[in-house]
Amino acid sequence: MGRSIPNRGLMLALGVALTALAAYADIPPPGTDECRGKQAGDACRLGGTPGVCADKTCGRLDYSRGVPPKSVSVPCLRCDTEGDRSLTTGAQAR
Amino acid sequence: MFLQAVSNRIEWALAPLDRLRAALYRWAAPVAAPLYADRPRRVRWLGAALVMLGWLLAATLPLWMLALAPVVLGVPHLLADLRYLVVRPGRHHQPWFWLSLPAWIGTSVGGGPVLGLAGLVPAVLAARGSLNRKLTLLGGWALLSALAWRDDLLFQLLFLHLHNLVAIAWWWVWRPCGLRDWIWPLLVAGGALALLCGAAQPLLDLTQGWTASWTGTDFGDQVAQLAPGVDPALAWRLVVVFGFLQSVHYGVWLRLIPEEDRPRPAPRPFRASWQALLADFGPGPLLAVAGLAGFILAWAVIDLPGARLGYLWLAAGHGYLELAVAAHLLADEPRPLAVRDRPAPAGPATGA
Repeated sequence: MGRSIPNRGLMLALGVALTALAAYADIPPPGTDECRGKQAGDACRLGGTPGVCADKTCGRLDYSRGVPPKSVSVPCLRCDTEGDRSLTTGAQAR
Repeated sequence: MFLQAVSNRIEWALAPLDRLRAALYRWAAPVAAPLYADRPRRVRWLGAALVMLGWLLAATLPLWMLALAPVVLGVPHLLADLRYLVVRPGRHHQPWFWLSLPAWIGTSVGGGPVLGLAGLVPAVLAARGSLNRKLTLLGGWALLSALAWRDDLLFQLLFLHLHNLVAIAWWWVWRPCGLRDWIWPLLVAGGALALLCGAAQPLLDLTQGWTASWTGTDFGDQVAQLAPGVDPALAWRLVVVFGFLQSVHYGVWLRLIPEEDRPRPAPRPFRASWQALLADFGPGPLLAVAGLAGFILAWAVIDLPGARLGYLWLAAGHGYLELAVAAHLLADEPRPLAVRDRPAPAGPATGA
């Protein structure tokens, strides 16, 4: 294998990657809380659709005592999109 | 000037570590020399040791692993990806790399898997292989893109889990090998199977590894992220398997492939490793990467789950880079040659 000292292009790529890191914060990863670090009423996006963070009750699995896990309900912030609000589906967020 | 001073300082700091390591080698030589002297044997036992350590940690402290490994090892493993797939083979001098780059970066800013897969197209078209070979690979790309278009969440989840195994395929590309060299990949398969069968349950009960509140996350969170919608009895096992395979992935890129790729078969002093890294990247990019690694670590001190998710976002494109380079190699030649056996591209040579 030969060695190659990278040119300015590689520096540029790294710069773009660093910029990308700064930009990522607006786009939540799938399956994670889109309202992480936000408060009720703050704007959010869910799958590209704008929404508002709202207080909800989330169902989740509690493995703290091992398996089988217990199903528990906990208060949570969830990104409520336009479609969700029109459906008024009740309290269970997931 | 400043960067040179930093580099000198790093070499100065590494000198006592080299002396310590040399002393350890001399002390252990009567017993350990046969393990170290021969590269294939060294990779064999190193691989087995990494797999066993990863399995033990995944089966006892999976939440610790899932929280800490990405923020500590994530950025160095991205650097290794870039080094061994792009910089050392000189692919950053090839136009297709730059044509594909926006797709990978776009994926890291939420562009989705269809965009990430688009990076395969220039990689395949720029290869020297036959038209049939290219058309076959483009057919594979179209199929994957259609699957990703249809259900991008499912595709991302499958890609997230399977991408950890791709590292083993890459190791094979570096060194097509004999039966004995497959000991550690077989250990990976056996270990993953045992975890899927629930082997970690008694160990987790024993270590109370079901919780680790200091990590800011729990099994419920991990299940929601890594195995949403899966039966709870299976979902936790998939989380543990993911932790195990992720450790294998990091181990391959940070330890085994560097061992295989190194021109010199013997272990290399830390200072020589640093000089080789400097020769590959240059001081500026290395400083930028060090800044990024430091940023992720500092973020983790303030918000560990946030830093982990941030890193995972940043790293989203690298899986597609691995895939695109693999597609380029497959389109290029009838069978991927061992990278070590490839003719060296033109460029300045360095020692060690």
